[in-house]
Amino acid sequence: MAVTGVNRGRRAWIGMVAVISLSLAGCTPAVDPNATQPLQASPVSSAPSVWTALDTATARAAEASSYQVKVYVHARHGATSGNLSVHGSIGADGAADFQVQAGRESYEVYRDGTGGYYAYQDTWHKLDHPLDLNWFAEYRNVLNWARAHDRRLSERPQKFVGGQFCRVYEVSLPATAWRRTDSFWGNAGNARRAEGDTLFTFAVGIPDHLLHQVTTTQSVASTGGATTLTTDVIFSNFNDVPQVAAPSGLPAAK
Amino acid sequence: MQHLGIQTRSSARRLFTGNWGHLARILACVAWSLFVNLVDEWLVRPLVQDLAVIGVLLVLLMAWLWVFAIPRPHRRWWVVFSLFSLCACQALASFASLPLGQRVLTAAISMAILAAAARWIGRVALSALLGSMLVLAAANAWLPENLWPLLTHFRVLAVGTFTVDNGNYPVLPLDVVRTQHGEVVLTVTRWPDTRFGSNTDDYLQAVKSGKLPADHLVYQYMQLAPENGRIGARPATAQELAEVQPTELSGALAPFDRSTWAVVGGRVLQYTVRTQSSAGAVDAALQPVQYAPELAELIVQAHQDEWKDWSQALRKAGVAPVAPWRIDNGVLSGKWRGRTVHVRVDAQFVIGSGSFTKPGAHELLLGGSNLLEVVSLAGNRPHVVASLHGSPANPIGEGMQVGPIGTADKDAVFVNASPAYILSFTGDGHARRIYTAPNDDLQFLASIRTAPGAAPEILADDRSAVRSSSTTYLTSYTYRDGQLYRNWRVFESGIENVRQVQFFPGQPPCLVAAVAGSGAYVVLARHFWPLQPALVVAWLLVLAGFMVAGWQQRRRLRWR
Repeated sequence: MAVTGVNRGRRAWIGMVAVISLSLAGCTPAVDPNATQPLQASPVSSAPSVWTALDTATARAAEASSYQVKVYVHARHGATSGNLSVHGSIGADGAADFQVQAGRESYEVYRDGTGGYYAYQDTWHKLDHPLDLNWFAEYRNVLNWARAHDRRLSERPQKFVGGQFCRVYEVSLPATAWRRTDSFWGNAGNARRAEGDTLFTFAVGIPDHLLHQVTTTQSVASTGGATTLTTDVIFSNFNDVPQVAAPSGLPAAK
Repeated sequence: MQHLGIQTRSSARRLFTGNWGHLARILACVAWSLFVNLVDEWLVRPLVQDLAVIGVLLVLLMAWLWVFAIPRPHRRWWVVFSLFSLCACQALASFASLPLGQRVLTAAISMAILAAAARWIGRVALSALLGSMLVLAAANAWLPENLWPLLTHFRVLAVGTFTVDNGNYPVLPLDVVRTQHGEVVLTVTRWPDTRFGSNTDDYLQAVKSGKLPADHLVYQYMQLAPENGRIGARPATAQELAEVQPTELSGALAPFDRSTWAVVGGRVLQYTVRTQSSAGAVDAALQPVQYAPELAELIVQAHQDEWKDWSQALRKAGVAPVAPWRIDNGVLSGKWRGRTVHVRVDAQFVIGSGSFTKPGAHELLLGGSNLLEVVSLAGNRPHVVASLHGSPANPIGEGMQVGPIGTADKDAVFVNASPAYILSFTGDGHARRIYTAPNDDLQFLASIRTAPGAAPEILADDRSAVRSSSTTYLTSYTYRDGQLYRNWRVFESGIENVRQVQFFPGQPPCLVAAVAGSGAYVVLARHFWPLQPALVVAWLLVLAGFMVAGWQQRRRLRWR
């Protein structure tokens, strides 16, 4: 009897030590291989066919009646970072709705047949010019410029983004190459070379041949130091957003 | 450390026989409760955090050996009292951020619960519990528990917290400035602050007179400087501020926010304003194809406007900005050895000075968009001696450190890209990448030469090589033949903005660092006492003491 009592006591101690040790946060054995593998880009085997594939992907995406978009922008300067995020949908009925977080301020943006509106601190205002959401045509212009100037294409490992497995191509472009002439900040034209080259990546869905992601990376220099600007635009649910409901509170502004 | 093992062993035996002095018993308990906490901080956590499962098994082995070394009749008492000490220390540390009234209340309640449990389960004497609580509270008041890991390699000369908003300043900014009285460190804190001679009335008055906007976070500049041998904090003067680059201390987040300044009562105050109207911000946000050029332009414009506002604010405060080197329209200008220097460059800003291409050379390192340039100041005609463009995929970005790497008087550039790497310039102006980090988490903090001619210690935040967690810890490396060799690691994460500063002339320089996410700073001086090995020896002595005590007890039982 005495022996079993001792054993039971011992087991209790062992159990206690085991339970305490489980609370130690270290039971994660191996380094995540994805975290340590640098993104290796390799030259594409046939540049003309990739240019064609990219052109098709943007053209097909431009024809899509509806899609969802997510945007993440980070401007890192030392320990601080200026951010922009956009989440939104463009519906088959022509309406579009976006949640925008620019810096420390949040906005909701809505567009329908009557024009564009934005809400700041729950008050709706009408935008004084139409919202141009013809993004894929613009991306197509960028790609055409790059192709015409024979920019070197590379291929990155495939990845899953925007709900599809995608082939990823990268190409570097001078930041000012495709600037529109009717730029909203046309008066601020100085320090052009501060912007340097921008590395673009385009992700094209393997099954659906649509453009699913565009990222950019660039280093911006000014007298205050360098800022690393990264942008990530993800498109998903092509032709799968039947309609976008008008936000409550909007009718008052119309 | 040897006395501790003997002391605890004898107290183990005597605590129950009751023929020892009451005070000595409590002292032994107090020493033990500190000891188990140090074992936790300096041995248990490093093992677990660095070696993952292997570390957990080692800790299990340690606990197993210890629990079964205690003589059986006293086992419950020792285990319960040790657990009480560990829990009490964690509880006291976790309440440290609360305001005083709440802190006292929550600490009292949690201590009462812990003490009741210890008394009930382990029948521990109340005096021992009380003594342990008091000494742990005192230790936490002297240095918060989360900073104890630093003590293995540093003396903590000062520690403090400035009130900053985490959105503006995820890490407290620190900038070293040379004044007539020696080097000081500049940083920021919220304004108004009654600790530094300003109150809410000042704020309301400034808003009323239109100097400050309402409902904005306002920051004032502070300086850390030695005062009578101790390091104290007081508001920075305009003369000191004239020496800094405003972006070094600015908490604004371009492209959509930037800093601007007001002068209230002779003090330069900083607050954040938007760079865009609501309609403008919405417009920029919904043109993803134009992000790369347009947002870049907003950032450049914001920095230019900041510099303009900063110069204006300084002039209002009665000083002019002192920039030893400045780049305007592609021309670097400044004074070197009494001579005005103008050099045509492609870079936009000055990173630092040092000897980059040859040992002992006088050179400046400049940065641009994904670009580094080295300008040699010596000779008749200062000129660019080396330049390097980074790769577009991993651009040379914002985080760069300059410091020695070998025993020679030559500096390397530590580039905190992802992954981070080290650049060295050759004599003929070519840049060589001499080391690339094996993971994306390694970030270089500083390179410090502790003695002339010795290899410098390269401080970095680095992750455990075997765990899959990306938590990084303060680590010291030495560079040798293309590899970094680890000297030591302090299991403290979030140590950033490490700056070397000569607070006390004639002594080795101190380190000032910020703790991420808290507004806290520490002033550290390196020591070389082998505290961790000493703790291991003490731990082994304690184990041996328990085993001897158990053996003696068994022998007595057998002879009775």
